[in-house]
Amino acid sequence: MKRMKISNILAVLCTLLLVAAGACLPQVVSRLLDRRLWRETTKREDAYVSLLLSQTPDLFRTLELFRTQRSEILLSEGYRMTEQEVKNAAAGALTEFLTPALQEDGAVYVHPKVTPVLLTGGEAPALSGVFWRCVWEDGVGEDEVLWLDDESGKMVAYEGYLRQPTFVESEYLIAYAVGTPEDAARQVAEFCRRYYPVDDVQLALEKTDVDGERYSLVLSKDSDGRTETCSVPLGLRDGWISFNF
Amino acid sequence: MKLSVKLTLCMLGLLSLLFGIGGSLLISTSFQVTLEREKEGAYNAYQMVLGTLQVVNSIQGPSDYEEISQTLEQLSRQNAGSFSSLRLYSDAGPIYEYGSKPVSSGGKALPGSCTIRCARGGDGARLLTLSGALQAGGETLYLDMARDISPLFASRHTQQQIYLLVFLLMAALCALLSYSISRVLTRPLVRLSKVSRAIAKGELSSRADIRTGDEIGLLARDFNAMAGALEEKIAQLREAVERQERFVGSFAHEMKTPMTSIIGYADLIRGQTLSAGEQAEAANYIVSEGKRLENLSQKLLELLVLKNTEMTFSKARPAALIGGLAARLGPVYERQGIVLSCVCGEGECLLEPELIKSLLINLLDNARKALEGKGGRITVRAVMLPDGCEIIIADDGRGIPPEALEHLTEAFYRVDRSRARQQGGVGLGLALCREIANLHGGSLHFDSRPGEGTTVTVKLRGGAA
Repeated sequence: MKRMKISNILAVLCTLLLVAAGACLPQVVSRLLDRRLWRETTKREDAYVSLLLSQTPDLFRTLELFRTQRSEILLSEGYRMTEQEVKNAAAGALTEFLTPALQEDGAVYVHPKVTPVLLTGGEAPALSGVFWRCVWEDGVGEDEVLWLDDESGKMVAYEGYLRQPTFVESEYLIAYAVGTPEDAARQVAEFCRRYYPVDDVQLALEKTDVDGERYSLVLSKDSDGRTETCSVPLGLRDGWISFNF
Repeated sequence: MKLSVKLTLCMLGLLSLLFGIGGSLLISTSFQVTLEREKEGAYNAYQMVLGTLQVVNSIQGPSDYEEISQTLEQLSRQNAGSFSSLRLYSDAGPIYEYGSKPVSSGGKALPGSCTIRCARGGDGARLLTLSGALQAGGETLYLDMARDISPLFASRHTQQQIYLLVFLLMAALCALLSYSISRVLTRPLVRLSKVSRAIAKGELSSRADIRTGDEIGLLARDFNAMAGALEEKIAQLREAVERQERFVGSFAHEMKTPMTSIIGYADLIRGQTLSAGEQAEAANYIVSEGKRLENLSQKLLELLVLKNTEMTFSKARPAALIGGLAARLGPVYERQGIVLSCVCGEGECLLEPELIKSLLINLLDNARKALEGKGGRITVRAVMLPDGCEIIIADDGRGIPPEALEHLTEAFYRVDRSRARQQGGVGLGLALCREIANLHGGSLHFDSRPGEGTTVTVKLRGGAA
């Protein structure tokens, strides 16, 4: 009888021990792992050459780098282009971007304020590239911004008005697209076909909501027998256009 | 300890252990995966900072400390989420510092490599520190970066707390459910135990009413079968004991009657008061009662021998046995006005001829006695069976009362005790016949109607020849 009682007590104690072990096991394991963690040192050897400066005139990579960039470092000068070259290229791009209504409105742009910027991508190994930020101030607090690639001199992004005249002096004219957002989107698609070295541009409406219409421009080109594509977002809202932002 | 409690403890212990192992693996793996992701993110940020410095340097030409600081300032502002502190310094001293928490570099690194390790900050924060170096104009600059991974540890701590709560809840639920389930599972065993106790108390007809198809159900069925067999065996034993008691009683009675006569007549002779004729008559009584006793003891001996003898059967023709017996007894019976007829099928089977003869003589003698000397008919039929033969002896005598039929083969049982005594029977003939039939794997069956006659069917299954 006494032996039976002892075995019963032992059984209960064993169970309680298992329950306690089950309850504390994660904490015990974590503590053991932490002890190893504080002593552990990892060495990586490739830190010195990991950031690449994109110097190949690959349009699609440049467009993508701009869209996925994580940090901007202001530079004192560009890598290839001078300020004047940038201003000319920016005005040319903008004029071409908004050609269809040029003659109807006759608005004139002033020279933009240009700044060279090093943009660094967020993916590893990180890509970086030198871009020019061209800003036209409209006097009412909303700036129109155009980004140029320093390597190719091509516009990679634009954000500004579609309809309202903004600037009235300088040798550059600006006109604003009139008509529906679909018309404006089609104009932008047409611009891409003319402006970029691509074989085809497809336009697709992604969504329509309170923030306006969101389109997707799919640029494609043949390279070494393969068709490469790049999707560029296009937003339109109340006369405001946002290209590759 | 009850089985249900044992089962509960086992299940609780097992669940706790497995839950603990599973929880530990889950939390640790989740932590390790997140930590690796943090390391990768921190390393990317580190590469980005280092690379940016290189690219800026390559674009703008050799940068001075001021330009480097400006670049790092911009990076720090834009990447506040990627690192919590950053320090660039040379052997001469710091060039740029960002973040309030001091970065523990753990020693100066070499250009081209990055050392990553976990460390504790001064304020107790857990940091992931990255240390590397770069060459700038012949000078080595050291870059230390730290990423605060305290939220990672906090998240793990929260997971552990949630685990503990869930664990306790699960353990409680497990204990409750496993106890309930164990009770349900062991209930049939409890019922079985009750039935066992009832049987032990003498309620032999108690049975377990368990109709499950599992092992317990099987056990209950086997238990019930065992209880049934036991009950039957006990009934047989009781019957055997009763039979034995009856046998002893009958034996004592059978002994007492002739002994009383013998002692009485012997006493008369000893008293020498009898005439010569009376003395002779008394002596005759003593002799006849002594013969009865001798006959009784011989029959008992035969019975005993039969019960304890291993028989060897031989091929025999029942028709020949019956025919021989009929030829011998027929004339005697004829003188008593009895017609003995035989209808026997031909064939051979395995049997012990002498015992069968004894059986037939007993049965024919009983049939003869049943006719009470008034004449009549006795018919003997023999039919061959696949494994022996069947012998039927029928008479048209006085018959046997139905209540006596089941006792006919008991030792010393006689339907009409006084008449049997007059006819010289000791009440062991049919008991002997039953034993002979049993020895041949057969049976003895009686059909009788008082006043119409009796039919005795003997089945002998000693085997085919």
